Amino acid sequence: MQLTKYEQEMADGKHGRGLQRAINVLIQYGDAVGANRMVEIASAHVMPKEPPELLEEYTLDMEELPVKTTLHPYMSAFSPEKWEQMGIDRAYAESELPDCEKRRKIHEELGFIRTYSCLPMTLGNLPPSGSYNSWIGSCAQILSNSMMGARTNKDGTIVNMCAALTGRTPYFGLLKDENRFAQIIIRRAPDVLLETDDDYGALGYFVGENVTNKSVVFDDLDPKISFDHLKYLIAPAAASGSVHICHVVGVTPEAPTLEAALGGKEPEKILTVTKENIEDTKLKFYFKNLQDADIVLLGCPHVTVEEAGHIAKLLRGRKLREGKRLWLGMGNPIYTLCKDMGYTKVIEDAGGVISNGCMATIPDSPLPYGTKRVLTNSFKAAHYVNSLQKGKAKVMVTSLEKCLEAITRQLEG
Amino acid sequence: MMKGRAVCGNIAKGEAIVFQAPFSFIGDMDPKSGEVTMANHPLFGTNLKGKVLIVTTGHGGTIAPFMAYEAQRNGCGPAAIACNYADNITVECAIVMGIPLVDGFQEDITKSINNGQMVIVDGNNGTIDVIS
Repeated sequence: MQLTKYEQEMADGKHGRGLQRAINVLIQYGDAVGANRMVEIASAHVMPKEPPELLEEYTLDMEELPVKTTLHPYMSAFSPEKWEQMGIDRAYAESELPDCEKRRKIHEELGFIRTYSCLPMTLGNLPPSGSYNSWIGSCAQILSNSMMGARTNKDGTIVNMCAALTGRTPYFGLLKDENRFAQIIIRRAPDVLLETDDDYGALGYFVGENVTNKSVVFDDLDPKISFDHLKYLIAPAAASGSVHICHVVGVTPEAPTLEAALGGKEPEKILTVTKENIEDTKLKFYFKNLQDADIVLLGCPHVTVEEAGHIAKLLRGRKLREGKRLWLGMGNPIYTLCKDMGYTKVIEDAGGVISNGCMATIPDSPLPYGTKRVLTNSFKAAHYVNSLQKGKAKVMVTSLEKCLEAITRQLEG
Repeated sequence: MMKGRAVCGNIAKGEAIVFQAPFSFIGDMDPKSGEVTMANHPLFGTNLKGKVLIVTTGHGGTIAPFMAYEAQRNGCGPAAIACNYADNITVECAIVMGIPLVDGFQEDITKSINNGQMVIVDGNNGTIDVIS
């Protein structure tokens, strides 16, 4: 690995013990994955679930971060502010809170930006197309690479942390032009209609299940597709499988044309998704009666302002039925904005709890005791809740509108 | 002695625990005890502390390195890992734990080594040696 003078100095410990530890992890990692140099990153996005001892060890002697670094949601849906309202077990909360406090202190000292969201691009972390970055979260990674053309490898949490601390990452994989082209074209049969979140989600989830370690290009989507629909389409492709990048012709920056997305090469194959594929995918997460849901999870990926406005509109004059819960995941700045817009009051008055946690409940799914049926509009959330609950709860995906209708009633008068 | 690719780490000796499947430090092992948590698996409950983990590859989980770090810190991490193909997350976990990792053998390593055999893994030379 060729190092610059400054990188070598970090490795030799001239810039403190934390940076020495961090750059040496990146050097060893870079050597193992075949990188021959480091690149400077434009931004980082990291996961606030670090073992506090690790954070302390890797930040020893540091005063501030070298690049813009945002924080992912609190992990496992746990939110230090909202856990009680969410119905999360007290013993669980008490085991998490001390670590949250330790991390929070270091994050504040070094200037980690307390976004607590999986959509940092909606919160000011919007690196340019073609830039190198290190982002965490399978969804943030695939969205950054696909929607923004801002390049990130699928780093794990510690290589990612080391990149944030040093401002460097090994140059390999998805950072390189030649590894970013689509190999597979995704098309829909004419009768596959895309209307609601779960239609887009089922398509993305099906693609994830059928594509391994490749990038894909959708060449027949409406170029007017909304940010939220793109989010529900692309995020599950990384959850159900190992799709690298989802290009969308006429929408995403590296796909002005189909040819450009393919890098001028012939595709390895064309995957045509049928109506039956979509219906079968929806049946993977299914229980008989929607009204039996104990909890509705919205915001995987996190709820945007537009979505919050729509949710508030649907909840106006309605209230959760007895024993039902509604969780919404939303980053801190979006919460403030939604409060200004009057959306949070409507949602909270109806009985919903808005949290800055992860609605896929990664990594240990602390759903309230006795939760048997979970309803969501997100295939990504369904995928993870289903696997993390290990059969304790059934999960179903449906549209946002049906999710809310299932657990609320009209207020009288 | 079997020769593969040296990925990272030095030399470690230990009893082989063989999974003819991909492994992840998130979901498959409890970082507090070192015990295998794969439900319905014959090795469920086996402790990986100080053992040599022999697996086909990893199965992802970007948060797995945090769990690997914790396991190591709690003194219950494996002593080394040998696999057919070391995916990037497994590489990251081994580096963070500071243990030898080797991969890329001619044979399927999970079939050439039996559960319970004593092995020496050399992360500098990319070898694995069965000693008993």
